[in-house]
Order: sequence, then C-alpha cells, then structure tokens
Amino acid sequence: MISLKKVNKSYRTGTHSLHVLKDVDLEIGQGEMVSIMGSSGSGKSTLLNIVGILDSYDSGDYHLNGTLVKNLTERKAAQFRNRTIGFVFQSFNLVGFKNAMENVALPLYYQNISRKKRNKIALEYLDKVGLKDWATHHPNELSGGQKQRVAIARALVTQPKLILADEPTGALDSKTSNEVMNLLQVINQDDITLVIVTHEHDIAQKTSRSIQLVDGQIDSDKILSHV
Amino acid sequence: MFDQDRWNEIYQTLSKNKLRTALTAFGVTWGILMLIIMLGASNGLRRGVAREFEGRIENSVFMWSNTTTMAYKGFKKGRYFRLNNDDTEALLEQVPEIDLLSPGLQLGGWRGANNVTYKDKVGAFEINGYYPEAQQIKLMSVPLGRFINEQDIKEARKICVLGAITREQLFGDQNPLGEYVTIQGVNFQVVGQFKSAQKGEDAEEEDQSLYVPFTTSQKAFNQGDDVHWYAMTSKKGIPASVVEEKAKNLLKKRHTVHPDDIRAIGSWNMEEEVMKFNRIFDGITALSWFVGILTLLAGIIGISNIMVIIIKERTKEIGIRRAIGAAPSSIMVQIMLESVALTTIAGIMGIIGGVWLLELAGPNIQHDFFNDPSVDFKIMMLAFFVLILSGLIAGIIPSLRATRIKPIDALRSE
Repeated sequence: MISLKKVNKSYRTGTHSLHVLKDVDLEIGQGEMVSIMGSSGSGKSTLLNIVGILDSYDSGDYHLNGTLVKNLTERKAAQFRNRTIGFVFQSFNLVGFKNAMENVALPLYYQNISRKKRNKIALEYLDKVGLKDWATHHPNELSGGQKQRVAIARALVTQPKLILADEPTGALDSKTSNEVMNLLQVINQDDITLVIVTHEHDIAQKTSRSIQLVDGQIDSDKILSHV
Repeated sequence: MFDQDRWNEIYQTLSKNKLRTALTAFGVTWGILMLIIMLGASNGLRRGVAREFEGRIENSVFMWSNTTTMAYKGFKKGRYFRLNNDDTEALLEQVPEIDLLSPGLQLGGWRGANNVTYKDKVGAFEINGYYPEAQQIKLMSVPLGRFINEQDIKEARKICVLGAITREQLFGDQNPLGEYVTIQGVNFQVVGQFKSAQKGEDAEEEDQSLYVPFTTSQKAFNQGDDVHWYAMTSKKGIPASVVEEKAKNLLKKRHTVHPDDIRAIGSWNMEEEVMKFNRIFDGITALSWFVGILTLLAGIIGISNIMVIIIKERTKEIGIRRAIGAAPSSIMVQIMLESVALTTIAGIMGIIGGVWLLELAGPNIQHDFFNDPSVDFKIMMLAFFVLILSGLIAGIIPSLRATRIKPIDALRSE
C-alpha cells in the first residue's frame, strides 16, 4: 500500500537547513493499522504529510498503491487525495458554516456528484458513526467526540483505501478517545489501511504496529501481537 | 457554475458577516448610482435641447444683412446694405445646391403698435412676407384653408394667412375664411390659418403673426425691392453649411463686401447648431462615464481589499477543501464567483437606486433645457456588463491569494 524508499525532506529557514526526514524506508501493507510515534520535532507529522501528498519530498521514492508519487501537479495531487486518502485531524477541521451532513458530503462535491446523491451517501456514513440524528447540526453544536466522528465519516465517504489520522484524539478526553479509537478499529476491519500519528502510548497500543521516529529516522518498528 | 451548492456557499460566506459585506458593497453601489444619475441627467439635458430644436429642418439656413465691418473697394466700413429681389434671382440661378428658398420681409413685431384690425378688434402682430416655400422650410401645418401660393406671388394678391393665436385673438370661434382684416390701413382677405411646428416660446411667437405674399408685402407697405432675410434649405445629401457658404459668398460679391468680412452677413444654420450641441453632449456623456467608472474603480478596489482579508481569515477552510480534494482552479472559480456575485448584487442595487431617483426627480424638474432624465435599457445592460467585468477584476488578486494556500497551511494554523 505504502512504500517509501530513502525519502529525505529538509526545510530551509533563511540560511539554516533543517533535515527533518533522513533516508526513511517504510513499507505498510494493505489493511494494516499503524501508529507513528515520536516526540515533537521527530518528523512524524512531516512523514504523514508526505504520505498524504500534502507535502513534497526532496529525494527518494514514494509509491502509493503501486503508483509513484513524485512531482505531481496541484491538480493531480488534489485528485489523488480525493480518491484514495481520507484525512482525520487533531482539530477536526470541519467547515464551520456547514452542517454535519454537508461537511461529510464535501469531498463528494469535488467529485462532481449531484447534491441529492451526495447528501444521501453522507447520511449513510453519518449513520455508520452513529450521528444520523445530528445531520443538520453545525459543528459548534457538537461535542469534541461528535466532531471527530463527523470528520471520520467525511474521511470515509469517498471509500478511500487509506486513512491518515494526525493526533485524532489529541483534543479529546480519555473516554471519547477510546470511542474514537474503537471506531477506527472497526473501520480497519473493512480492509482499510490506517496510519495514526500520536504521542500517546495507550492510543498506540490499540494499533497492530507501532513505529517510533527519532530525529527523522525510524528507531523501532514493532508488531503488537495483542490485537 | 450554476451549481446550487456553489451559490449556497457564496451566500453563506457573504451573509456570515453582513455589516462588512454591506459596507464593502456600498462602494460599488455608490459608483454605479453616480454613473446612472450622471448619464440620466446628461440624457435629460440632451432631450431638453432636442425639444428646443423640434420643428426645424436640420438642413435649413437663415441669412440676413448687417453692416460691413471691413473697408473694401472704396467703401468705408460700417456701411449698411440691403438685400433685394435681384439677390433672390441670383441665388436661385447661381447656387444650384439650394432646394427651397424664400425671401422674408417683416413689419410690426415685438412690442409694436397695433397694426391689424378686424371689425372692432385690434391687435399688434408680426406681418411677414414670404414665398409659398416658407411652409415647407418651416414645416408649418395649415389646418384651415390654404397657405400662400404661386399665383398670390405673381399677382401680389392682398391675401393673408393667420397664425393660430392671431386667429383666436381676432376671430375667436368664428370662421375667418373669406373675411377681411386691415393691416396698416390695407385690406387683406383671410385664406387660411397655419400652426407653427416649433415648441414653447418660439411657437408662440410664430403663431402670433400673419403671413402675406412676399410681393404684396413689398408693394402694399412701400418696401421697394427690399429683402430682410432669406430662409433656405440645401438639396438632399448636401450639407447646409455648403449652401450657407456659397450663398454668402455670392451676396458678398453682389454687394461689394470684403470676402473676409464674416459679420457683414449674418446667418443661422440649423445643422451646425445641432452638431454643436451633439458635440457638447457627447462630451458630457463621456465625462459621466469617466467619473462614474473612476468612482466604480474605488468601489472595486474596496471589494478586492476586503476579499483579500476574507481569504486570509478563510485560510483554514480553504486548506481543508484543498486537503480533501479541491483543485486550485476550483478554489479560484469559487472566489471569482463570490467577487462577481457581490459586485453584481451591489451594482444592481445601485442601478435600481439610480433609476428610482431619476424617476422621482424627473417630473419635478421642468425646464426649457431639461426633459425626461432617464437611462435607456441599452445603457443599463452596458452598466451590468461593466459590473460583471468589475467583479472579475476585483476577484483577481483575492483568488490568486486563495490558490496560493497549501493544504498544510490549514493544518498548521492553530
């Protein structure tokens, strides 16, 4: 599913160059549920951005689902993200002036699917995350857990093969964190690949494979057998 | 483009901050309001003046003699000379560009003494001697009886045609045909009544006169072979100014006037007057567009400016859209449409306001040189087109800013 070979990335700030990712090699198979851990500045978010085609990399090769992702135009990248990847963010990133259903339907808008059909599909996915009754509510009327579940429904709505989650529980209390993680585990059972960036150990414990990043390099890569 | 969601989103974003949207839009509303009012006012002026010109043939020329202002061939300047019957013949023979020609002779007139009597009624009227051609040159209608004819001229008949007001003052409701009026002691039989084609005071003046055959006026009132003025028209396709020039040169030669003496013979050329006014109003219209467009430009800059700020505030939202699959072009189209929608709505309010004010003010402004201030549909469509163009221009910078937003910016801005 995901294959990185000797991927390097550095940021230039003025005269200084910050080498964030150093020759990262990583293979993630279809249907895996992987957590990426590391302290702040370890490069875990940069890695996720590159995997999510939100950012470019300097050297190496990145294959996603068998396709080389390199020097894509903005348009191609947007299409790629829309069709194959779903995103879940720490701060939910819902559009404030749209209700839950419209938020979930938004990715389908960029696939030129008719409004009626979009909203029907969006309702199905809201039902899956248990928020069908909240479809017409706006994000500011929802709790943090509910917002994240709307965001997960939005990530699922295009039926992607890969879901990338950046600190999905970072803004939630432990009870709702558990609920969200359980939901992600259910999603994983449908053969959807999940990559979760987190710095919480008990979140990482809920995944089947944990990768530790230190200073832009993979420090450890453990299969967690308890699942 | 006509996707309902797109417009929903535009509505949602614009209505999120109503006051700011309204203040931003006001600049454009004001600009287009000014444009409409100025164009309407200049149209009102143009129509008012056009009304003054009504009832006159555009290719007509009037010509009369003054005193010379230059010495020439032994004659001193300041010499007064009179046009005469020989001039009439010379003009008809030597200026082929003339279509219709009538000499004119006038007696009595403005604030003159009582000169016309009918039974117990008396009045002071202008007595004009004319050829039959005068009717066509002056576009007069003859609702009763007939106008002067060739036979009247040949035989110098003592007949007269009354102006509408003259008839009313002397005869009231009575039929004047066949009756005799006394003009300066000479009896004239009434053969008809005319009505001026002009408007306002000019029409009143003309309707308050009597027309008699030109030859009769010379003989009956001891005017010798004097001609006071000429009224003429140019042939079809020939500018009135050509006839004016040729006739003047001929008359100057015949009366030994210096060829460069421009004031010796006075003239009035309808065509030139119309052109003069048209040039003035074209200038006023151009100025209205210029000032209006500049005011509108200030509004456009305002909209552009505020939209750049809105884009900045929406960085996160746009970043999310980009992350979940919006292509940069999609974002660009959206911002452009928002700008066009805002500008167009603001502008339509300006157009409606402007037209409304013109409609409101129009009937209350009654003046000789001002009539029906309004803009026609074509101008409104043009203004509408200008608005859409303005919206596109206003949207360029904000939409370029928006496309520069990268999806990771959305995730960073926390």
